[in-house]
Amino acid sequence: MSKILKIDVVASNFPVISQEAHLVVLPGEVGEFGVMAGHMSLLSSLKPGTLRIINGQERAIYYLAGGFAEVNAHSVTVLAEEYVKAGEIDVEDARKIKKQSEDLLAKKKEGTDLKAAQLALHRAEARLKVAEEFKEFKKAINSS
Amino acid sequence: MAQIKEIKTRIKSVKNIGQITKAMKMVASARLKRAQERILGARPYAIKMADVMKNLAFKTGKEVHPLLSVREGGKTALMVITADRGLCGSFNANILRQAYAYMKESPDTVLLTVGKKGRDFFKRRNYSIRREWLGVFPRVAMETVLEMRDEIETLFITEKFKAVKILYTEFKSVIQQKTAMDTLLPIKVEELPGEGPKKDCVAGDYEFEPSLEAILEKLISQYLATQIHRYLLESFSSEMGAKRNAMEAASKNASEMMSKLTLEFNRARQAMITKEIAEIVGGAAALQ
Repeated sequence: MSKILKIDVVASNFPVISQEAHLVVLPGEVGEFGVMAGHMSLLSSLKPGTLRIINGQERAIYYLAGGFAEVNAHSVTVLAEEYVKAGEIDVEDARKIKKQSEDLLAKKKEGTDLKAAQLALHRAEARLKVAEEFKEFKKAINSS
Repeated sequence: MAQIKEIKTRIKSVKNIGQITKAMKMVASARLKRAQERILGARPYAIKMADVMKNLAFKTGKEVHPLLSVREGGKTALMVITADRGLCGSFNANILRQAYAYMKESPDTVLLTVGKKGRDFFKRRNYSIRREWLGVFPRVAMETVLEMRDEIETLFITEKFKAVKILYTEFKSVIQQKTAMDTLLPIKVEELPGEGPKKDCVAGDYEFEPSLEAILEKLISQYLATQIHRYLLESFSSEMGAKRNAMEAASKNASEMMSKLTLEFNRARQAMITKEIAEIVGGAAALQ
């Protein structure tokens, strides 16, 4: 049995990511989980967070805005609402959105969509976290 | 002399019209291209989504979600997608003719309209419209799509409709568009596009996180939104294709008319010159 997984990440109006991997770490709704070849069939919804694709020495990090993952023994399909490569995250933008949604949630004004604000806040925080992780990851590479 | 001036003004106005139609054609072409890119960009996602839904249905059996349930009785809703504006050939007329025929056949159908043309058409004929959306194009914002989805979900789940159908214009190519009717709800899993269950997907043991119900709800809602989005884009592409063709024909007519008018103008001018010469020659002959 081969130890290689095939992973596809698709999102509406984004280029498809399709590659092989040893390990895929996904931001599941109930907690992060890793998938290796031979994993049992699983369908999980995803929350905003980090997607890590590890293939030997290579390591790719993405920010996912939520979606679904279908896991089968030799393949993982991620239906993402949106994804961004970790190196391309707009940190300024994420900070701005975080602040805006925090303000909205704090004020709790009549007529504001609190659920949408909450979601925006989660997404902005997740983006910042992914960007942070990527920075440290790069530092680790440079020092080694 | 008066005739020459008249022809001159006409040439000028035809020229102006020709320029406008040409510009409109170019705008339509650009918008068409963008809409098509969006359709193509959304395609891999839609196909994978259908795949996942199929696998899911294969593993769990149907009848697990209210949006999949087939009912015997109940009302039907029809969502008609037209354009907001005219000047696009027979685009609106085609779709409205079919919609009207359908409404005549089953008058108790509940109407939902997208686009100003469709709303005006049914309002004039005193049909009640349950919900209307205007100014959806050319942006086709996700918020609008979600609004539509919520509306039809309510119709289907809370009000126990039998089916929600959609009448739109399918985009085959720039020169060929076809009106088509599809069923949005209930979703028929067997008819989804994409390949069948994958080889490494075995029936039975399937785990769900957080739970089957939660996932289905999210997945199906998302799927429905993707579908509606696609129908809207498809219709918009068709509209722009029809508009492009109509404007191309109009530009061609304008240039034909211009050459005709120019010919007429030259003839009139020639006639005038001939007349003047004849007068001069006649005058000179009279003096001798």
